[in-house]
Amino acid sequence: MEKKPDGLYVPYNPLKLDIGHFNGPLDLLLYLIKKQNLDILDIPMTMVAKQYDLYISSMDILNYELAGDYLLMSALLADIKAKMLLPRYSGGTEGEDDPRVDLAARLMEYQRFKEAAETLDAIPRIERDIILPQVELQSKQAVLRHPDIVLQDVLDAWIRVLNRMELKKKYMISEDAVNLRDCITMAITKLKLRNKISYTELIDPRLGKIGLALTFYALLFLYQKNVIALLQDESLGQIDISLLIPNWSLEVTSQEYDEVRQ
Amino acid sequence: MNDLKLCIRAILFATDSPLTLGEIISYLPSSFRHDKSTLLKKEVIAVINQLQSDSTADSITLVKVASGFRYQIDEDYAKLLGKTMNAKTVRYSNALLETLSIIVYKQPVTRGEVEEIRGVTVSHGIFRVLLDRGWVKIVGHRDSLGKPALYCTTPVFLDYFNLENLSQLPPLQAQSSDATE
Repeated sequence: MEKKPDGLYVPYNPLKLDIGHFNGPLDLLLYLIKKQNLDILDIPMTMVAKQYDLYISSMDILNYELAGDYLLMSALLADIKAKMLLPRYSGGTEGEDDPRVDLAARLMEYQRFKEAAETLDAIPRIERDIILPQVELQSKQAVLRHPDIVLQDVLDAWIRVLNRMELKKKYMISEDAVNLRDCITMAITKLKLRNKISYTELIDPRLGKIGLALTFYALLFLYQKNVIALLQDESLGQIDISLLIPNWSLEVTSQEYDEVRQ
Repeated sequence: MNDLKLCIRAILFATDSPLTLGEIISYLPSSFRHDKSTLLKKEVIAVINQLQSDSTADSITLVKVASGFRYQIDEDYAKLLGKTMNAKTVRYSNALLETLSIIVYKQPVTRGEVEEIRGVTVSHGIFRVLLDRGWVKIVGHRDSLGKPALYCTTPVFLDYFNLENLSQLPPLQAQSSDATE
């Protein structure tokens, strides 16, 4: 085995030391400094750098991400060590351009939080130190209780609904199932087949109220155009309709039809 | 009055998370609520104080944590129970505790700043655990390169560590002998 640097604390079995013992390079450095009662503001760089390197070389570092952090620190220590060899300005105060200042500050900052973590860990906490008691409720299910209702309430409610519906009534204008043009065409078609037809035969009750009215209006229109003749034999008797112009069709007079419609 | 006391006690025992004053009042049966709400609030506070002083001699104590009031079995008795009931103790790694303490004292803080102080890469797993436990949360992103997430502690953290607010934590040790020799 090579000669160990002076003052190095050798653990029981240095090779058994694994990276899990330290929380990073700063932790390892702090450990080295503390073990030897060194002044954090005046670290003997040569010695500490040597010890640090020996430690990490004895560590079985398999975690490359962590290994990088440790090696970076090793490089930093070597860098500081080299800078220490360079002559410094004698003018300024001593601590001013000491290359170790940054490292010391980082070590102290880390130490503060390392201690804070220990304090935090000492605080009693749930799971480890505190148990939360929980009392089982007899029955956590809510009992569904139906309210009492009298019939009058239901009826009142129904009336309120109706009143509300009245307010919300929508007026829709829908296209008529039949229009005047259809009624005229229908009347002409029937007349062309039979030449003479009674009024009751002409109307189609399936067209409904509007259909009836429109058929009547169609007859008036055709009568006005002298297309048809209306015949009644006796008062209150049957009205017969006959076609006067056999070849008449609506298209001939569509312009007039449109005027009438308006 | 006595009734109200028993009621509040029952409410606190029945729930598994801490309750705020408002929550306790909202769980009270309506028969208590006919009073003016301000009057009731004062009454409830008085009753809670009474319950708290009652419980000091009890193995189960009423404490106030960040999210409200809760009953808990304190350290001494919990330890006793832990031994006899074979409770598993949850241990957190130093890395996790250090990371947590940096967030506690430096919040809001980025992962990079945590790594800067610890001098080591903080594994993703540690932040995952802290976030999963609900102890820390991302409160925003620092307006710098990469927009790193900013972490803060939560009331869940305070509840877990038996604290009402962050000021109950011991102050961070002053940066000793920074200027002095």
